[in-house]
Amino acid sequence: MKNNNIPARIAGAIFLIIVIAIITAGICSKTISDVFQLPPMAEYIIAGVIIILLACPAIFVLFIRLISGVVKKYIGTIAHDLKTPLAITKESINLVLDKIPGPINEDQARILTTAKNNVDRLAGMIDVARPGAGIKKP
Amino acid sequence: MTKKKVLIVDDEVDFLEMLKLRLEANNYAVVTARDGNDALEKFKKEKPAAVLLDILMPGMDGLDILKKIRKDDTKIPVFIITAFSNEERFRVANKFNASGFIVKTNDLQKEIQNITAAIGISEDFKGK
Repeated sequence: MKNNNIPARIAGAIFLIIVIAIITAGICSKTISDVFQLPPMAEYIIAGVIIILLACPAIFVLFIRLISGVVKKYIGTIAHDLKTPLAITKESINLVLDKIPGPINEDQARILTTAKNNVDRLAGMIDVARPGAGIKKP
Repeated sequence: MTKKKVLIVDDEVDFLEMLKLRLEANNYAVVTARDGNDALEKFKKEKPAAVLLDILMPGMDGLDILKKIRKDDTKIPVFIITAFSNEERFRVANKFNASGFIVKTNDLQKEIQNITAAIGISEDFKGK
């Protein structure tokens, strides 16, 4: 089973990015300070700027990924829960259209066919809302 | 001619009823169960020609029931009922030799044709 613990993985990745950014910033700011003979305060400022430039975009991307993962999971759950009542509704209509409980007239058949077509439309919308759904032939 | 018996296992009462009506209209005798323990008891008692298993149920789910059925009978057609599929479920279902899948929102009359074909192949194999 895939590891779905996305928040923990993203927290770990953020921590790693911060550590790498701090180390990189430390080395770069020290080097720049030594080369240009800058005062200690300048070294700290340069380090801070490098950390922000390195870490912020990466953290932002990870945050967006976390949010989109949560939203996708939520949509997937809703889509799945809608499928069963839809399936029941569709089969109920099909059973009457196939005259299994008894005969129906043309008008009844036409109305039920309209209902069935729109159930199919709704099922199609759910499939679109949930990418990756649908049969994968074994 | 004796009707072929099919065992349906699903905790969703309404879907169970609709599928039962559809199978009976196709000349099958239907036995139903709403949970894993009832399903295994009826499987042993009724000796169905095929089993339809809902994959997501509280307690014992369809895949757990499939594993237990396969310990007793490796040849009986077993179909997994699902609203959606995912790769992991297919992988596990194929590992335990599920005969196929019934997608709830598909045309059930067509899905039943697959069940009929599978029962035919299984009985030919057993020499009935």
